[in-house]
Amino acid sequence: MTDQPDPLRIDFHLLDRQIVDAAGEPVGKVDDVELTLNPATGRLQVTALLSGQQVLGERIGGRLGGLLAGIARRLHPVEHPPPLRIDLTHVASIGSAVTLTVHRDALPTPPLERWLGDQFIGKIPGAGHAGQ
Amino acid sequence: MKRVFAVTLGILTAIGGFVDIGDLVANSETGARFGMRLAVVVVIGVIGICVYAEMCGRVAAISGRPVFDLVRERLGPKAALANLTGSYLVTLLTLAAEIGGVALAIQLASSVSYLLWVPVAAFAIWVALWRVKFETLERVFGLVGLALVVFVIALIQLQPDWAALAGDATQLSPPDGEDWGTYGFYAVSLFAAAMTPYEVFFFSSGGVEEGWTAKDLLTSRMNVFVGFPLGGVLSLAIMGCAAVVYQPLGVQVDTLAQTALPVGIALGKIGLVVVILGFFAATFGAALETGLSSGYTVAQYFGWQWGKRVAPRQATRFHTVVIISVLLGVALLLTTIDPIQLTEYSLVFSAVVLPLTYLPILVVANDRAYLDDKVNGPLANTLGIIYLVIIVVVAVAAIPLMILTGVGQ
Amino acid sequence: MRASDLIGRPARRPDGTVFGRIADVLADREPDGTWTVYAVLVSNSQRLRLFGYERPEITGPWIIARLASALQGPLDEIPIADIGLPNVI
Repeated sequence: MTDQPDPLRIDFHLLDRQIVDAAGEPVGKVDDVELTLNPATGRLQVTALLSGQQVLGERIGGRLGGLLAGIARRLHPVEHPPPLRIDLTHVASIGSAVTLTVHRDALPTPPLERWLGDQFIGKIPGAGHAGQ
Repeated sequence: MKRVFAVTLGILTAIGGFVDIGDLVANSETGARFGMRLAVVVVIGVIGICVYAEMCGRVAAISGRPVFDLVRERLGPKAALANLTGSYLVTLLTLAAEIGGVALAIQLASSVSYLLWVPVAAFAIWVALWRVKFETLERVFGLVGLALVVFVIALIQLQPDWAALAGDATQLSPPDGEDWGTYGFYAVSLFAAAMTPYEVFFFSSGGVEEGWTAKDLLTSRMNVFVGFPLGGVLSLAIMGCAAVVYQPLGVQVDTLAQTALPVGIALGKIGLVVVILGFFAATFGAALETGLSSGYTVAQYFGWQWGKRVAPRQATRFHTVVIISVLLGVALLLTTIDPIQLTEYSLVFSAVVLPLTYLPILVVANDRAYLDDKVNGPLANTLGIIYLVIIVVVAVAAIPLMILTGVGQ
Repeated sequence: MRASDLIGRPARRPDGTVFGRIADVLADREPDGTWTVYAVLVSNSQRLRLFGYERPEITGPWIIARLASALQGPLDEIPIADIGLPNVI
């Protein structure tokens, strides 16, 4: 990692930050962070970033979070969609955004984005060009 | 010529804040009812949006973060969702009003009912948002919108008593026939319009669309300090023309045609042609600004890819939100609700959203983790805090005033 | 476990007594590149992330910093070993 805060404050530096890929393109928000208990050392480690509307709904909790998570489930073409999980080893730096070492193409396309692309946006002429 | 183009983002943003369909008629109405006694509010509004747009532009240039990223990062997902709901509603109502405004401008030129033009206007706006490059949109509508400078020429041509106008502008009280309630309501409306959140959403997202980096700080500042004062000048000219022509007659203004009339009186048919062109460009430009902002806010809350710098296929959720917003706008207009009234209702939501938008901006503008050494100096902080207080006062006063005065009657 | 199982939840001693709310979780970088949690920040009231004035990178404007400390109160850094972790599958 080229640039990291010291110490890392999970709520301040990670949660709700924008995740961008190696080219600076947005990938998603850090909707939650995965912590794993290392059985060997008995210590809690920060292992991955979690991203997705369902994850966000679960984190917000209560009626609002349930509504958000429910909408996410309805809009998803897949039953029980898994959240986007980005291992911390793929994080290049943590600054005003969280920058990854990989390009967005290396990550799975969010199902809703792909579905809209196939069924709706992609069918409108000119969808493939950034405009003139 | 390149220099002129460099500030078109600021001009286009300012058009949405100072001379969109709501403001065009509101400025004229204010001039007709209050003379120049609310001119000072326009000036206060210009300074306020300059202070905060400069901060947003700085944050966009140095950290690449548009305003709604900051809103979610600093306020947390729940408060940010409240802001998103309010902001989206304001932007949607305004978008509907602007589509109506474009249709009204065409009606002025063609005498065909504006309702028939609504779908045409909406389609044209969507095609522009879908196909035309951000830079091109910004340049064309920023520059053609400046046709509204004809109001300045018309005001001079009307040969008003400048001393009387200036004297009126220093009288900070309602004239005979008006009371403090309506005076306060119009003051709050004008200020809220000058500092509407979608201006900073659009400006900062536009800066990111343009690929601003730390080297573009000067460009960002030029955009702010040329664009918004220019918007304010146009606002004041419209107010002045109405004050000179309508106030002595005690006439109420509530249509676009009445707003244009002083120019016709001063400059004849040529003036009318130019002013209608200006109306068209300003409302179309404001429609583009609010159409894009409806997508920017939602996409930036959830972290989706957004913007025109990538092909639509790469930002399908963003473009879907924009299309849905345009369609909702058309549906709203086809209920034959007055487009100009729509912007007055959006004031309610605007009031709530203003503090939730500007407070995170002020805090981030002081944070070295975002801006390295380009954090706020004492002047920016002093002005920032003064305006935050004004914003909170306006937010608290807006809804009671709206109810008390029956939306300004 | 997720960060949301800790942040915003009551801070408990290993014996179960509650002594505040977990406002943030602090982690350090190990030589092998992994991040290990070593402490939490505990507050008496709700922590407002908005301000983040406990960090050195932000100091002004003065009046907002005062507002932040008035609203938020002190944040105590408590080693993670002194916190009872929730049982989360």
